[in-house]
Amino acid sequence: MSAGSESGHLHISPGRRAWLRFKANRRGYISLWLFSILFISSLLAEVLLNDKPLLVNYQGELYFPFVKSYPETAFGGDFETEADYADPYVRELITAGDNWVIDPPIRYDFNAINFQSELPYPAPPSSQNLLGTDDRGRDVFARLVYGFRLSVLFAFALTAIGIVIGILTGAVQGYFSGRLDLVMQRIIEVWSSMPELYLLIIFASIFQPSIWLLIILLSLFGWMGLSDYVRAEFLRGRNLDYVRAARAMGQSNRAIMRHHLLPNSMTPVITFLPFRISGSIMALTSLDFLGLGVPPTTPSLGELLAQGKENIEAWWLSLGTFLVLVGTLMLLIFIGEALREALDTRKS
Amino acid sequence: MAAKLIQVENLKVTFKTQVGDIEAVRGVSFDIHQSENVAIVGESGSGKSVTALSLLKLHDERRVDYPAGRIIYNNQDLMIASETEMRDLRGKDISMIFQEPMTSLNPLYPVGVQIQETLKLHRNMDSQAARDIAIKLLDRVGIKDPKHKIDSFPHMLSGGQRQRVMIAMALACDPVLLIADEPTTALDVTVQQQILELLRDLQAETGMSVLLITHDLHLVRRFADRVCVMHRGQIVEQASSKELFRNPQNQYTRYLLDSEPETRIAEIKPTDKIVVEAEGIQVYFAIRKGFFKRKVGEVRAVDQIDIVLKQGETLGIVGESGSGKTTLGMALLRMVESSGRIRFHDHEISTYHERQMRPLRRFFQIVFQDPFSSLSPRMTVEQIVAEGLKLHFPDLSKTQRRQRIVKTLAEVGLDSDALWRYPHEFSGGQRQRIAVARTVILEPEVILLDEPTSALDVSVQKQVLSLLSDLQVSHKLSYLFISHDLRVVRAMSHRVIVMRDGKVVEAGSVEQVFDHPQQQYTRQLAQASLYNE
Repeated sequence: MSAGSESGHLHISPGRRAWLRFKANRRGYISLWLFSILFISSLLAEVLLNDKPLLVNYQGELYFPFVKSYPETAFGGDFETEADYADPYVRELITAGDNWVIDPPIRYDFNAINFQSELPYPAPPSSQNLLGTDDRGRDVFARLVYGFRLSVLFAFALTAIGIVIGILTGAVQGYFSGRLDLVMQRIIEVWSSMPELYLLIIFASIFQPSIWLLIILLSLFGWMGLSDYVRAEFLRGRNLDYVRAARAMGQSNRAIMRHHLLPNSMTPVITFLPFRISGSIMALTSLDFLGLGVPPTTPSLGELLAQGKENIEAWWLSLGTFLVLVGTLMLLIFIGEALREALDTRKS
Repeated sequence: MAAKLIQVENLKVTFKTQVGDIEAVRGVSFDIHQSENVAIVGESGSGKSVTALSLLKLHDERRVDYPAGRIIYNNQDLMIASETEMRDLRGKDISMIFQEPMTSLNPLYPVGVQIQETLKLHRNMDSQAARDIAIKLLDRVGIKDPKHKIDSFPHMLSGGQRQRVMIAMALACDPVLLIADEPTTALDVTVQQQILELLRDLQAETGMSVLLITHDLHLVRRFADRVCVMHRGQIVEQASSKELFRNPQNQYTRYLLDSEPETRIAEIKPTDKIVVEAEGIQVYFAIRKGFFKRKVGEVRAVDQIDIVLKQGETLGIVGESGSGKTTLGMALLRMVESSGRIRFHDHEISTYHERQMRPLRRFFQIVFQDPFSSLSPRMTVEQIVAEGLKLHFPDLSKTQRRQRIVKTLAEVGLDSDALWRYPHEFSGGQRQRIAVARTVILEPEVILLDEPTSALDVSVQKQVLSLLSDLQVSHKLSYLFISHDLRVVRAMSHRVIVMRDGKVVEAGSVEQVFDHPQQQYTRQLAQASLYNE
């Protein structure tokens, strides 16, 4: 590798060069686009899939049911409870005369039950429910979209927490080594021998299961695998010449760890990133599948899979969930691969 | 003249890579006669090792292509020989020794087993007979007490002993040709000499031929009958050793012969101002054993050494590996814990904490041996050079900083193009320049040069050394010059200390130490490296 050649990309900043390398990986680039579109539209799920109209004009006044709750009496109904906009009676009231309604493209959210279904639940795909309903009459498509969003957000949060804790502990252990490293390593060994699944089952029976509880519990154990690798990288790196050169320059320990060791120790982090994210999605899905995860009203892919198992003849339940899971995991892995290549500065 | 043993005709080797084919060897022809010592000399990347490996077809088949050429051995063209035929040849007719004795031996087996392996394979011997021969071989390559050493593992032997074991392995089947690829590069000078003598003795004894691959022309002068000088995949000159050194024809050969470091010490005048003064420096490493890590002994890496370094002066520190010279340098810069007094101007830095040292750090800088590991691979050259500047001159604006970086890069002979590039895009010499730029930009007073040119080719070595001399003059720098290469130290230093086992063997001015050595050890060292012409 001699210099003097390739003088084309001289004034391109390092970040821009990494982006160019990322784009060079077609599969990863297309995956990133697809994933971004899917993820961003799932963030707008409240607007796109909702059982409440976006806007109601009732007797010259404007109502925003999807952000605010109105009692049925507001539209001339009988009950003090919130209006059920899928109810034909309410619908008639808000569309009568000059009144008009703007509905979301799909008129179900993850908990809305289709009471108008002509078939028993779980109902197969129809014009009302594009992907059918589950065994409680909820729209499968809406549940999939909300479930996808929840899974991805959950995975991002879990991965981020795991990486931050893992890097911190690994870096401290590897850089300072010696006795501190020894003590922390023993603590990690004890900690990692705790039976994670039993703890989850116990906690699920003590506390009301919620997504936050799951994040906290899984984070408690998720950082250890990574911390070992980061520790090894720091241990290897701390005696390299460029680290000694930085010490000779008078850099503080923190700056050396941040600017010299960390960027060069990111290989395990970056390599495991796609697998950690997909692993987190799978963790949530399997806990939900076993019934140890989020409460049943929460849209969850695992719960849908469990329903698919209970109602094996309702193919739309398992097939839809399966495709969403496989698609998500594949896109994430492709993106992760491209990211790994992009961050390798040794590739031109 | 003896019969031709092996003929190489118009050999071409290309490597297939993702960016396209690289022509490593471009039409090389040479012969090796029986009982002849041939040397191929060239700088890194000249294709010398590729040529040698081609004789045994040891390249990765999937990555390499031989577009043309014939290698005739025993009326057989090795180029078209099958893998089975080659396997029969390797180790039996033609054997090879490699550069790194540390990695060429399998650490999990005793050395005897590794020697016996070849014997069993090519000669169908049983274990006992193979063992007897292995002991004889070890004896022949000069390993003392071979009956016990045969059962030792590679890590129990020194570098020189391991290289001897490698030679024993290579000799196991009485080869007619021994290919030695940089056999002495990783070894200390005195050991280098012993290994070469051994090879020559064995050659005279057995009548085999030796093909020696090396980057060191001077090594070859005493050893080879004939020398081929390679440059960019071609043999630019081929002549008998005597002829080549007396009357080099090719320009490149002359350039190589000429790239001896030039002595410019005379024009660099140190002042009388003392920059660093150290007394009784000691660095002991404790040896701990057992469950409770009890201290059972200590290694005296540096033992009671006094040093005075004046402004603008170069102090050479010479010694073989393990002599403690790097540890001494690091101790003087407070990079390893030591006892004893160290003064830098008015600062009694031996009593300073790490935090007190930090602002002073910019006055002491280090240039490391390996320019490939001393630059962080994830930082651009600008980031690397700017780092210390941001730390010690935080008042500079962004443009001022950029200006200074560009100026310093120009000073070490690099374009401003380099700013946005990563270290891996540069050659070894250029990387060492970047490392020098990183230190000089801080306006230091003392630079520790830890074998700064040992990893570089001879011609590049010369350039880097003259750069260092230029900088010394223009910035009034004091150098602590650590090296095992006495030629370089002689060219660069005003005064020298010779170290062995953590102690100073001899100290004084360059002329005094090298021309009139008082100690046996210094004489040995000087003999081995300075006067091998």
